[in-house]
Amino acid sequence: MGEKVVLEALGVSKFFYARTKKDGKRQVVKAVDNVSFKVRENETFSLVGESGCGKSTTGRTVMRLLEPTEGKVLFMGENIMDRKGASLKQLRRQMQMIFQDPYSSLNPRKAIGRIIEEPLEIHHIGNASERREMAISALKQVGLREDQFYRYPHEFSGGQKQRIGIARALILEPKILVCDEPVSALDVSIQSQVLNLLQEIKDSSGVSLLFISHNMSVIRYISDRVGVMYLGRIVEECETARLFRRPGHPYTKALLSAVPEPSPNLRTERVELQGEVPSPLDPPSGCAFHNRCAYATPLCSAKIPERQEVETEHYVECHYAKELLRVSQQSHVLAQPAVMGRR
Amino acid sequence: MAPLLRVDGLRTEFRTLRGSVTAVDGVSFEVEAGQMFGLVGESGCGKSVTSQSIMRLYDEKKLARHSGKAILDGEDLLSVSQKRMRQIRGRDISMIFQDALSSLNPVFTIGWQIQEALKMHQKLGKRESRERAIEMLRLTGIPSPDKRVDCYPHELSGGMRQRAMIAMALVCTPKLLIADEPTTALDVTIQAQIMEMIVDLKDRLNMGVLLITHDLGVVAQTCSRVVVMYLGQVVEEGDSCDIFDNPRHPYTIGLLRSVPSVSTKKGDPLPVIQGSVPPLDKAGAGCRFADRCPLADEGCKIEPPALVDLGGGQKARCRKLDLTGG
Repeated sequence: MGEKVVLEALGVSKFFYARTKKDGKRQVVKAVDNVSFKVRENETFSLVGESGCGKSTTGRTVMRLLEPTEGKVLFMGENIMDRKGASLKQLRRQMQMIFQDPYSSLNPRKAIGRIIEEPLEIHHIGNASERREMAISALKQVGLREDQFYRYPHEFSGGQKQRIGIARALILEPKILVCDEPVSALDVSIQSQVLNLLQEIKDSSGVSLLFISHNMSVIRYISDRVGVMYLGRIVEECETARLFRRPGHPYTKALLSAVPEPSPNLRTERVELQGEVPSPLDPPSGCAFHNRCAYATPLCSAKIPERQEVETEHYVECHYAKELLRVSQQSHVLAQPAVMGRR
Repeated sequence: MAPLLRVDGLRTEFRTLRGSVTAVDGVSFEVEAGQMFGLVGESGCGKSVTSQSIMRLYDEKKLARHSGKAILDGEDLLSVSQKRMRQIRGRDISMIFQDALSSLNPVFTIGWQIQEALKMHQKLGKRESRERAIEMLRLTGIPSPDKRVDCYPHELSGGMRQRAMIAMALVCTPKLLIADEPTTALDVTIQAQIMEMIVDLKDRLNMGVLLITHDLGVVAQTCSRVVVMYLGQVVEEGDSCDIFDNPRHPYTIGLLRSVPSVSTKKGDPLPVIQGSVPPLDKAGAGCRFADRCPLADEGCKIEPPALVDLGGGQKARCRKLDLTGG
């Protein structure tokens, strides 16, 4: 992992305007609200959160698939907000994306070889035979065979389709790969194959990953650093091992404790979380988490907490982050062997 | 004590354009009252077909053919008439599904839908049955149930809809609840709430629960007994503790290892099961897992393995069990 920052988001916000209320006011959905993070060279930075927390929107916004309402995005230290036309296209070459649903992200009417070649055509790289060569080597790199070049997407299983998506993204040798829930649609045994492939590619090519997922155990395995999102904000950002060992934000704690461990002897000490994520159309005042938080005080509903660095490179958006971190020093360990009816 | 549900040699064949396919092949297990029983496997392993066969939900004239037995309280569900089955469904045995939105009728209020089962099975007055519906909503943890009872499904969030569906399933206090991936579409924090509620209601109503899921974590945390399925067959069965701590079938072992857990070191490659689940009609004559199994030899591809009793209630379908002992 290098120190060089490949992608940096600075106070990025993305608001959507929903239907007009009866009084004529526009309703605003703050899908992404003042989000900042860095992805370093050959690093995996993950965004984790429940549905509707804005993790995918963040991914799309930093790739400029969506235009941010506020803030800016730096790629290799350069502001990319005013890139357009040919220069934006040049940029896209270095930022590629893979999607959750391998079924709908491949054109059913094209042979997979053509699908993988297409990015090269778009960017006018090589001649026809060179492109074919490159596509074949990409195909092999993701664990498929050369003779599958002329097959169509429907002839492949979900895991194989995801591999095709990865080959298509990698053929341009991007600097950063945004993976939006790349294994969520796959069965467990296939999931681990695809995760291994992504890890292998990262190690061999030096690409950086912006990994978006709701699955905590996948996140724990693949990421170097994690940003936890709740209602459009990154409420905690930290190096992975430390986040799982000593979460600072009450929401992270609750989220971690809700993950069922695949072993009956490891009972997770549940942090009860009441209710559900509030509607982003009408988020609570102050700290968006305060109405579900066990530690909330009147201050929390009055004032939006600022992002503070509680330890080096460990950021938490909570008024009581430092105090809570001291408390969580020993408590909440994910794997606490409970004395259980073992025969 | 006789078990609540005894499934014995259940076999479900589907007639398709390309000949018949056996989706469930000789599945047997027993669920006791008050027990949480897990049926685990990846997509296409036949876990949902098993449950829907027990419920007799397939078109038996055109599509499906069952054999074997599914005995609920002394009565074989596979041989009773559809008319009798309609009396049993919703009263003795209920089912909840993964996608609550498409399982609820969008044009009726949830209160109406909960009362529908009462109308079918119990003679209750209007007011009484409405009270019952409200009571059920309260029991499933829906806030202000007296207002929610008049809501339509689209007015509720995903977690609330799942709760409403559970209320619907449990309104006649069935003996057996079949939960087919009840939390797969939900976020983890909501999943935890719903699972906790199902466990709580199971204890209160002394109901047997057949939980069908692909999520090993959920099974480990809630079920006392587990069956693992692969390509229509039971490959391993046992108490949760044994299955998770000392799995014996290579598929179970592979499946458990491939989930990244606390003990997985970052950077190390995850253990994988090679290849992918083959289509049902391509399964070989021998062990169905042989093509993906690290232990398989030529014999495994020819000779179908039997379900071997390992003692302590654990069984596994494998010829190489001497190599997987722990």
